[in-house]
Amino acid sequence: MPAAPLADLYRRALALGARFPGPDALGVNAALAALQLDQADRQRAGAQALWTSPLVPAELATALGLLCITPETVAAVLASAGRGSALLDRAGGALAAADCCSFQRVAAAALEAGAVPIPQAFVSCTTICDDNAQLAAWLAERHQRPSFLIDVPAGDDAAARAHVTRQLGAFIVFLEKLAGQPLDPHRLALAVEASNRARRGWLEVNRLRREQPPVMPGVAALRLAGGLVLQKLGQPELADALEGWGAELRGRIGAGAFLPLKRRLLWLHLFPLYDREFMRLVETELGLVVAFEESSHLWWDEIDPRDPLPGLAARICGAPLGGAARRRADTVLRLAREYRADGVVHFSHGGCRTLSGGAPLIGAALREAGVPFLELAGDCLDERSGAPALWRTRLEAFAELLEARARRGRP
Amino acid sequence: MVEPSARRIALLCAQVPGEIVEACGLEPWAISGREETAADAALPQNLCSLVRRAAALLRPAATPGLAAVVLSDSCHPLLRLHDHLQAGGGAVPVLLLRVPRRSDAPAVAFFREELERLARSLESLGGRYPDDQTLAAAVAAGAHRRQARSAFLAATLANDGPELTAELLRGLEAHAPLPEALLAAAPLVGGPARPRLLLAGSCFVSGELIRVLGELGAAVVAVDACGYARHGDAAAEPPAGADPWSALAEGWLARPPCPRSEDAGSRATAAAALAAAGAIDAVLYLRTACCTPQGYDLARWRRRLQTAGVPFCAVEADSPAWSQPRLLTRLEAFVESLARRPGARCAAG
Repeated sequence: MPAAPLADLYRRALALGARFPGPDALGVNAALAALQLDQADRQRAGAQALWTSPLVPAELATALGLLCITPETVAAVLASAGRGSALLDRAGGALAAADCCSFQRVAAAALEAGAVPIPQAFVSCTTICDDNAQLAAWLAERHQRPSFLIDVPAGDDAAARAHVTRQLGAFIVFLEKLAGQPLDPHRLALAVEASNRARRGWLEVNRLRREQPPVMPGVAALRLAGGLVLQKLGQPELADALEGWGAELRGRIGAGAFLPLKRRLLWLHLFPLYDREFMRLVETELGLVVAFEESSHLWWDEIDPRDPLPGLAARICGAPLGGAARRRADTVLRLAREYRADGVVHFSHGGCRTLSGGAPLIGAALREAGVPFLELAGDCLDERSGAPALWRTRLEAFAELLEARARRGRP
Repeated sequence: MVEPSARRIALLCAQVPGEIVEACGLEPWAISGREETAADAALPQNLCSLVRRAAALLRPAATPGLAAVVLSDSCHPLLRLHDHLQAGGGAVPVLLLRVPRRSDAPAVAFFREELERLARSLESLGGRYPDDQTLAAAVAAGAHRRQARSAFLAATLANDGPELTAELLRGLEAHAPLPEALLAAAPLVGGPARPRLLLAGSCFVSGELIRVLGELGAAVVAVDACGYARHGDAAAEPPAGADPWSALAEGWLARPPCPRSEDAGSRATAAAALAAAGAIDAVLYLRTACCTPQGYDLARWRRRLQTAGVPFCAVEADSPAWSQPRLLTRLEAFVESLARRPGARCAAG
């Protein structure tokens, strides 16, 4: 059977995902899928879209009617549809080196293959990841589009926030030029208010997950990670979806629909997105339900709609995933405690030098605090790097360890 | 092992200006990546070998008496190195200098504050907070070194200019004192023409590599690599009376960009222009294994130079040793291919 043509593959994968969301999907997954599909349709119809790395403030673009799409989300959707390694093969040596992050390389390959439309501009942020900024610059040059870099100093202090705030001002000028119109402060205020509403809805979901036994598999929340939610901040539909998530959880709690559970996990980073069996093994077969995940942790305060730039800069600078590993470790320890995690699993994505590079220090901090820690190595998108038998063995051993601790009376 | 010195400050990467350390009355020791050391096995393997080698080099046992380490925030592996060294019990203070990726006015203003902050930290470690005159002198000396290196590279790139030797390459190290050979007028060296190479990318460019390429029949005429002076540096001494802090910040950020900088793509364009002018015949790009910025930079150089019809070869290395057979085979094949090109300078060897 000949290979399916790649044109418009991203949109087709989204449509397929929306139609067949999978057994672990919640209403919020369906809502976000619909939002992504709508965005893809609008881009196809001529709406202006930007490729933005996850922490680039989407509220600013949304207020100007621009769509934000993260390369990581494009890559995740295509890998979930089983096309990750094929796209990498097709692109061959034209991409960055094979040890660079496959999220960026799959996204670049998708653009090269026509699987997704070329956006109007590329915008990146240096916090969290070196690949974001490098990819944006490279793609901008390759596809002759403008680019903008938000250069974020390491660490979260007044000087860093002030420097980022100034850059956000320049970013607005860049966006206005793309949009062909000045930014309306009222529209920006509305976008920020929608963002704040989304934040409150998300915090409510997190509170329910913290205070109640699990009523949803963690994989449903993990599928929202990587910028999928962050890049819709400012859109009222996102706030509606997150509030709906909370309502769905309350309904399940009220009906007593708690998941069969042996042990509670805190999950760090992502998982092999192409392998639908992986998280089923973890959460269903082994009963290690992901009570919470790092990617759902919200670290920022509400943003002032009348003067949003300082708050947006604080959100960028304060991201626990950027900067010192000690800050990330402190956050992970706190989350493990708050969500009563019996153990912590870190899936170390091979090309991710930021998060995987800090995994040993995270593990050391957890062990010092008496929290069992398991690191699994692999690639989130390239199924050729998969080691399912090894992962199963290690996860089974980890489950046994957690059970033994529970029998000895250790929390 | 590094000789003990209570006044020695280790610097990594080359984005940290040695001038500020000198102005504080301390001794900068720029880690080049070419030191005799193995990689630290405690760090994850997906971090670049420069960072892992530096981690081993900066173990307290290997560097007794080091006053401090200053790391830049050039990339996330360096931030992981910062984490690793801090977690190592704090035997040696580890400072972080945040260096902007662009050179516009806000970046200069931010970097000026960072340099002042670093100076205060160095003062607390036994240095001396520099007065304006002392700093101005250090800035001027640094600018002079940059000008001398830039002029030398312009000479090597000129037709019939000299080729780089291992000694001259050492003189191009960004933080090294200027050797006499560079300060003297560059002699014109005659003799058989050979393919003229630009070496780009990694700090693992070394005198040994130049020797190997020479034996294979190529001449290296310039480098555009981490830790070395880059061609086309329009360094200028700051005007008299200028604020030395701003002068250092502005002058430092105005240097030719490296792969982590916003305008990194301009280097490949510059190399294509050199080839078009006949200053170079080909480019050899060395990538440090697992270096993300160089991974993208390499792809950029390849595309730009292949579009311009400039012969291009990329190799990857995780150490400065060039005796590995697979690398030698690649280099040999590349140099031979250059000699066989129509219109090539005299045959290799």
